[in-house]
Amino acid sequence: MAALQPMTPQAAERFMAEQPYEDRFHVSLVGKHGGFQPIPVLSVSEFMKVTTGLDPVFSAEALAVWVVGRLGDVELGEAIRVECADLPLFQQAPSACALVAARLAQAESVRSAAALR
Amino acid sequence: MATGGYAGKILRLDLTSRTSSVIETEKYADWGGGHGIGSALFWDLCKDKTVPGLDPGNVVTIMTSPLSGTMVPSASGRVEVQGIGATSYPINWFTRSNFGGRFGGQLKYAGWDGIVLEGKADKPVWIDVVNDKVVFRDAAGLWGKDTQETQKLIWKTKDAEIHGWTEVGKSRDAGRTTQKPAIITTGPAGENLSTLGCLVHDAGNAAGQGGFGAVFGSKNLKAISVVGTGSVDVADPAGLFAARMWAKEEYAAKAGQPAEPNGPSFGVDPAAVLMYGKAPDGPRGPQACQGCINGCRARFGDGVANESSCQETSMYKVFDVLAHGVGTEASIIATDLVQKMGVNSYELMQGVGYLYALGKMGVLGAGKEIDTDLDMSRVGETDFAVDLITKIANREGIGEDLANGFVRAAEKWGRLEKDFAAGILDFPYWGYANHGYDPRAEIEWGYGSIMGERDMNLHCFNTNFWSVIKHMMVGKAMPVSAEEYAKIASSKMVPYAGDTAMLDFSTENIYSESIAKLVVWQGHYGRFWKQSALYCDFRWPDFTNYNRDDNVGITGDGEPKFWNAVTGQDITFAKGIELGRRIFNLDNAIWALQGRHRDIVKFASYIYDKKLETSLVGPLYPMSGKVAGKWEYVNCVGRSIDRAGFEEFKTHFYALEGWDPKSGWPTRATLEGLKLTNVADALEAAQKLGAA
Repeated sequence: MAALQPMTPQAAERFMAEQPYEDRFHVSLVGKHGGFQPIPVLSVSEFMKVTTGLDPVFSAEALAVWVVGRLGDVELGEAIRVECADLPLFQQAPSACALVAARLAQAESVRSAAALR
Repeated sequence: MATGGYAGKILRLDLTSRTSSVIETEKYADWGGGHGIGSALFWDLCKDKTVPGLDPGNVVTIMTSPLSGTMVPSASGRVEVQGIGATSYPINWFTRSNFGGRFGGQLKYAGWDGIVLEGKADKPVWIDVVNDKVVFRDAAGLWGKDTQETQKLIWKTKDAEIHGWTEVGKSRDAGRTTQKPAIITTGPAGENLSTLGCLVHDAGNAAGQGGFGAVFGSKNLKAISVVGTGSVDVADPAGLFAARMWAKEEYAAKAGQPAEPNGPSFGVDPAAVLMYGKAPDGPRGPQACQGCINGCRARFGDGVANESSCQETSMYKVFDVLAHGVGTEASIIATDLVQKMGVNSYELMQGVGYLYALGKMGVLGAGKEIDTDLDMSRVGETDFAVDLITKIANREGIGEDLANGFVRAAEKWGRLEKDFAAGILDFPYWGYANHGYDPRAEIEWGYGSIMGERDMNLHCFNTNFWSVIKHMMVGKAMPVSAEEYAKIASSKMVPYAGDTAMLDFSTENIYSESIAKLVVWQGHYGRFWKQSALYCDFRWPDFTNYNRDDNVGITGDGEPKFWNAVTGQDITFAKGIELGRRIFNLDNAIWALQGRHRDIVKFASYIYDKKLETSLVGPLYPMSGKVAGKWEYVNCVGRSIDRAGFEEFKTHFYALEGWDPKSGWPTRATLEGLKLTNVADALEAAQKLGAA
């Protein structure tokens, strides 16, 4: 997995901020004969919740676009693209999730450090 | 006369006068059973077919088929409900719903092929049917009770009257039974005329779509209880037994044979369809409809959400996990509650998503544009689900608007076009919720629904989608290529057999005559084999069956084999499709009288104006199709429906049906060819007959 450069406190806050509903991302449940059930995701923490608590499908490319365009994290977006480039479509989610989880941990650490100052 | 699977009688109930009478089934037998007979009865008995669903003039039919109560696999437990519904927008279409369980079997054992409901009782009643004894009973003590309390109270009443035995015998077929009466009931939602109102039987069998719970409520009818001690006269019992063994030997998995992923079909591995984020604790046992080979339901040690299956078990999961990070009891309790209150889980699921969007957008909440005390900060919690479901069922607060359906609520709030345009009100056809198979990707589902009258819920070709995506998700190769699938499926699709382009879901083909054939065939197959013969949608048709070396499923051979063994008839699979065409023509004649015209047959705007992006459903929506002349499983994500293209499709569709392409109405020539001259006369009198 690609190592990501340290974040600034401002970048960390933007990365973790809840987005307006209009700027949401979707992951999707593919239920047993129940069809697709899109799940609106407004923040990285919600993304981690639903990808950990469920086993949804999503487009890694669409995630990269959201991460760059809405969360302002160009580096993470590129890392998702690189990591998932050679994987079959339905095997991209674990790699993408691992990258987002690592970035979220980094952002939380930056926030904690900033709070202590 | 009871013969060939038919009980021979249909019970006609006039709720206004509290009287019952008998209709001889023979008069309607050429419609087959189930939906066909129901449509014909409605045509004859509903004097004004343009009334809304909650009008006392509405006529409701509850029909079995000759196969009901027999040992035909995955066919003997379904019951078809019809009448003018309360759900659809902008017009309450004549529509249908369907439920499983043991009601159909008990009705047949009591000597009835179906029930017709007319009029409106002056006070709440329930109907007590024990063989040929029919009593209108006071439902004052049941009104306001949930669906499970209602059934328990009726069982208690009956147990006290008959001491656990029903109809101690006078003759062989008027014997005794320890079966509890089978009951279909409306819940509080239906009593309060919520268009989300369902009919519920036992713990979790529901006629969910159409708002028939509200139709019962409008008639002051709480429940129908039926128990019988008779039997079903099967024309060829040995033939039926042999057919069942043939189906098992040829199409079922052998012991030890690994289960291949597949969609709902005859050869799929039997299993409960439970989709909770957190499985219910404690012991559980399988539960199946009468005669079914599958058992897609379960019962649990604590009895909560018993018999719930498929979508309803996933209804609240998304918001449960958004709130908690894992699935919790909230999903299970919400599912249990919709069964008890008799609320349509499909509409509720999409509706919660809509409310969630409005809440996050700052439109809905305390003191907001849509002012409500529904606490949107609690979405995903048990108390939110209980509050919302209770409000809808009891028409409290925002529930007063939502009880008329989410689309009508949006219209009342002045948001209908805006929220359709934004794609947040995901109700693409006739005010019905998106089933999860978006019309932009899975066109046969969308087209079938909009050319019909409701979310069609026919998994005929959707099964292949499931097969492909399940294989992809576990990294397995598909047992059949897209080309093989198209060949196998199209070979069974009489009268269009052999046109493989019917199974080409690539964007270039979705407005073609071949796709119109697919949708027409699906409608005719559905109307007869699924909704009249009452083969279960979760097992039939079976195009590709991976338990066999040749991967060729039972469909085409199986349906008529069982039908003929029970009825003693000698119909072909194609004859059944033709009967389906006749039934679909009658339904369309009714819709024409109700106001259907080609010009209003259109999807909600977002289906045309917004592409179905990967950011909404994920990376892939695989269906069979051609790319540069080569078959593959093509990705149907990334497209919208083109308005002009859809009009081309409609023209093909009407031409194949033999209807007037300008109006979409059936023509005299077509109706007379189907021996429906009286229907043509009625359309002509109403100035709704298609031009020749």
